[in-house]
Amino acid sequence: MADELSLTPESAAIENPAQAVEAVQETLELFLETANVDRVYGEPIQHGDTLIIPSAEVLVGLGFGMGYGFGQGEKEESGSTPGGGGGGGGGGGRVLSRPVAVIVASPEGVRVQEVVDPTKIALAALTAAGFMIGMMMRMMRPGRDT
Amino acid sequence: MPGSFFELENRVGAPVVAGETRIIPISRALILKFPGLRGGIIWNRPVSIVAQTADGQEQVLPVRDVTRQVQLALYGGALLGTLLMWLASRQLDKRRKR
Repeated sequence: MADELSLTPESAAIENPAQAVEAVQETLELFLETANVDRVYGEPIQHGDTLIIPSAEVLVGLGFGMGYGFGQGEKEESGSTPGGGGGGGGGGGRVLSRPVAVIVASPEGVRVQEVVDPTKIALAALTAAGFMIGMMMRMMRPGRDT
Repeated sequence: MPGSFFELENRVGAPVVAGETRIIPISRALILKFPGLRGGIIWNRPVSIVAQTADGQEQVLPVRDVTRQVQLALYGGALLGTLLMWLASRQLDKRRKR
């Protein structure tokens, strides 16, 4: 639902600063669009008499920076002072999306059908159990100071 | 993104018509801006829907994130269980020392 933030290889290679500013502007606009309602509710799907609207949670992180510098060389015999400058920038981001529920509208009425992710729940259960077992072993260790 | 570092806002989407029912989606976005840096984090999630029927009845249906609720319950339970075990082991130690 919100995977438009990925840059293509063509857009990653930017040759002039104006293009860079434009690319940053576009990326920021896409980033801010993530807060819109249509990013979490998908396009309705009609199936016979039933209308289905998928919904998801979206988490987007984005950061970028840029810098530039100028320098001057020693004064030449001709009286001119050579100089130069340069700049660069970079950024990165990540989009995470996870289905949360499906809204089902049928002639019987409207209901919200939750989406349960058993893998995430199993991982959370293992983490919680591991934490508890670890702490228990630590508490039972002889010579502990608590 | 407006001025503040932290923003929490509810947004209402365009209604979807399903037969004689209008479904209005509502989402909640948490917007965090990194102070002094360019960028930020947006966490957007569905909150509820409002179902309006042709006879004028309105029903608000919350969109629950069951996976998140179970995850939080498991982590909370583990923390609480550990705390209780720690308190119990301290009591036992005190009794043994007496």
